[in-house]
Amino acid sequence: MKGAGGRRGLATNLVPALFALLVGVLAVAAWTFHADIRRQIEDLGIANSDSTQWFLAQSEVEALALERAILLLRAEPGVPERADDVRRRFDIFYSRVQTLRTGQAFANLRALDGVAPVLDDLQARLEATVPLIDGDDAPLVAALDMLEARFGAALPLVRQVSLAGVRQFAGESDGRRQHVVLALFQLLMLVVPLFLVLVCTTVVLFVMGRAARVQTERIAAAGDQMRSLFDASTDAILFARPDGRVRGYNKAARRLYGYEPDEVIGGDLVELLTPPEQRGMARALLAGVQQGRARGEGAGAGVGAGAEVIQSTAQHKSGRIVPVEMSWAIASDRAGPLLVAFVRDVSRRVQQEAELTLARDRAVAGEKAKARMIAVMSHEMRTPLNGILGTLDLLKLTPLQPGQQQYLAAMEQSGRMLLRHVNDVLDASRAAGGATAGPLDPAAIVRGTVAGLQAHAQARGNRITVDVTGDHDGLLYGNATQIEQILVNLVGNAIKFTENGLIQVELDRSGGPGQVELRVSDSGIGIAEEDLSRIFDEFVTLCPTFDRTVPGTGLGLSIVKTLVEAMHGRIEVASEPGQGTVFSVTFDLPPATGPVPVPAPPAAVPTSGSRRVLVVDDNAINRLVVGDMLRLHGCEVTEAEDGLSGCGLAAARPFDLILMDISMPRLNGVEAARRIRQSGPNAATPIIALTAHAMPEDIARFREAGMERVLVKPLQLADLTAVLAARPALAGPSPSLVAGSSRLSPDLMDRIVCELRSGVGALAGGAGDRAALAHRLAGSAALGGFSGLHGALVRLEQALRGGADKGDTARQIADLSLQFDRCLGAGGLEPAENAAS
Amino acid sequence: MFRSTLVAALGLAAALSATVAAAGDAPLLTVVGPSGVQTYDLPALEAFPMAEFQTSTIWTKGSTRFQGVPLKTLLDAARISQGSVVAKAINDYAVEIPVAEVTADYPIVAYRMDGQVMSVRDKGPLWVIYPFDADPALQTEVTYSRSIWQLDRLAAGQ
Repeated sequence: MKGAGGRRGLATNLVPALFALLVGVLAVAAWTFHADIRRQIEDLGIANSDSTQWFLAQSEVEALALERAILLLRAEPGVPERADDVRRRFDIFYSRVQTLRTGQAFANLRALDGVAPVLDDLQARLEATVPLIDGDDAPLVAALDMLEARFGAALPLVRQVSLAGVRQFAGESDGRRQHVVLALFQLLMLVVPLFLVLVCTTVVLFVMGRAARVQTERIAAAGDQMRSLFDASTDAILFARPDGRVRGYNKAARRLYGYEPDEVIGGDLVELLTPPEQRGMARALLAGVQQGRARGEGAGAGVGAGAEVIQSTAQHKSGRIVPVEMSWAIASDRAGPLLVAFVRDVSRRVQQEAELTLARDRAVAGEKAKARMIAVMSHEMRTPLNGILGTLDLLKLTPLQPGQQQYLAAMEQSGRMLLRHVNDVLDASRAAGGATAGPLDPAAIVRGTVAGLQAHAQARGNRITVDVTGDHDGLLYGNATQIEQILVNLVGNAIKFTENGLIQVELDRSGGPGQVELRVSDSGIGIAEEDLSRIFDEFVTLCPTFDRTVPGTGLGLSIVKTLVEAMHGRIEVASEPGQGTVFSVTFDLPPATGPVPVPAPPAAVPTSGSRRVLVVDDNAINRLVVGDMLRLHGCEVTEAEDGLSGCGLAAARPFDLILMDISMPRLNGVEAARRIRQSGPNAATPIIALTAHAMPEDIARFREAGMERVLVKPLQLADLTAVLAARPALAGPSPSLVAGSSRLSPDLMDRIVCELRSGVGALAGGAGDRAALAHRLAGSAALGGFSGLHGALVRLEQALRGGADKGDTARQIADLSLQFDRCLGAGGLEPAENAAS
Repeated sequence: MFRSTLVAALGLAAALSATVAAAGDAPLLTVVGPSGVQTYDLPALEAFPMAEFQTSTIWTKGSTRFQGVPLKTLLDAARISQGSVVAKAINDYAVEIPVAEVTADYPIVAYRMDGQVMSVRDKGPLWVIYPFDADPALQTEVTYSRSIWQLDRLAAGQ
């Protein structure tokens, strides 16, 4: 390729060189011949032949004229004018002969053979005549004959000279003509190659011209295409010099910037099209172009590689600022470097992004609002509920009229329903007290949970069965509360939608040691297929407007789903309207390594008169409720109405336990706990947080402040009992049947004993809802401090609800009566301790 | 004729008085122009500012010195300023000279050659002559034909 190109280059260089040489040679030759030919032409111009030949001919005429004058004088000798005429003609002829004899023009003529003697002869004749001519007329007339003879003989002589001249000049002229012919021939020899060169040149020029025209057309076509691209581009394209002068501006640019091309071309890119705050950057970019910074090289901040897309803004003619994306490149032409900028209007995209951002912000704000609402509900609703339910708990233990007991039961049911609804709302994010992982027995959880729901199911005429299948029965490690919540919600849901039906709860552990499948099926109304997909959404209650026999917040299944997902499990649902619904929850848990703690039976009420408890809460009702509950357990209660006074009391004397509310004026519970932990007699005393709002992150904060457990309001007696029971150090020597609460009023104690007595009798009688009765009696026994009796009643209740056979329950009731009698003695109702107080 | 001569005489100044003073001499040149017919004898011609140059001619031997009156002077005196002037010789040889080609310097109407008055035998008494040697461009047939000798008449042509 390269070699061929080189040869072609040589040829293209050599041909013009040869051509130039040829033209040069021809030019020199032409100049030479031209000079020669011009000399020839000049010779023709300086002619000396025509006038000399005329002269010679004229000389003959003059000779004849002299001859004639002589003849005329001879004819009229007396006429003087004739004589003067002879003299004048003589003089003229004389002059001629003189000229022939001396004139330069006749030098060649005179050199011819015979001419000079003739001229001398003529001269001699003239000289001989001069005296006669210069003399008087008379001698002249007398000599006329002689003169006539003399000049008559001169005529042939003149003719002879004249003819010699003709011959001589004809020869000369012939030579000259041949010379001219030769010169013309030489000229022709020159003209022919010149003509050929001219033809060649013309052909070459024609070919070159055609090639140039083709090239021009091609360039024009390419230019047209570029122009079309330039104008058809949806992106604005700008060309600019490094000094900012705009050189090119397409139609898209007109749309983007609003200027007509003639307003912009030659104008300043920076001043016209760039918003003020972008001008510095634009100048820097142009400076980069000036320095010839091409794509990618020498990229500095702002003047980056042209390949990058710059987010920037443009200025419309109206002053409006338009968000744009820009990329650029450096080109160059003869006048220097050129910035080529491609600018795209992205205002629509930016607007969409802004809308999306706004939508997201709103959504986030909505989430925050929801979280805030939950926190508010958590605290603001549950605090008063705490007061109500706690007080009801206490109120139950006071002597009441039968009508009052009904009212109380109604109030309690309503309060608990309200609490359940609030809890439903909060469950998803609530960290229940003690919701920590530990060893658990799935079968026990299922049985226990279902047992607690029996009464509810029976109230709607439903029967619940529990089946545990599978080979694996080992303990697992996990969060028991979560499993309970899942089960409570699923079974609760089944109860809600089933009337006089069967609810089957199955625990299947056949999948593997750690795999658990829970199935809850009912024979209820079922769920339409089109609704199956949304039942797990929040606040969904199907067919809310018709036959609202089903109460609820619509959060239950949503909570279940959240919990299952938190356990990395899976939930599925299948349903046939009118036939029933099956929920299936599957999850894996690792096996537990340690022994499962046996849940302290709620009945095991530890009693101790020596325990000193500090209750810090700004709510007087809560203080009263908690205080009374603690006093039921035989605690010595000290109350403080805020964190600061709590700290003061804690600094003054040691306590065995501190219950600390979180939200308090002056000093909140977290800070108070931290201060108590720092120093003083209670630095090591257990502190239990008592709060209405407990998010997971709060729990961590409470623990970090030194609070080891969290009890969530509303506080229930059973919770508190469990806390106290979990502290052996706090548990005093506790006989199985002791009237624990020395602070209980004698009236209340009487009432409790009375209720227990009649209740145990009623149980033995086997009338009515014995499970509910046992439950109520268990609460009373706990309140009265009869822990053994309490435990027996709880077991009885479970047995009754679990559908144990009659023989077992009869034996349990018999045991219970025996225990009751043993505790109180056959004749007296007063417990010994109580009597002692 | 007399009248026009008189008018012409009245119209002329010193040159004319010289003509009158030398009335005895034979007139050498007759000029016929818009201002009438004028005749000049040698003193009259000599009264004009004299022009002279040295040149060779094809009709003479060697280089020769000519003295005379520029033709232009005579044409001006006769008010011949356009067209052509017809010069005639004693033998009636005639030639036409365009006025435009008459310069202030040449041709001259020579009346002396090498300081001598020229006889008719010597192409005199008046000879229209060009400085041929001074300019080769003058060495043409046309110029040669206009170099009329034995001049005796000048007349405004057509």
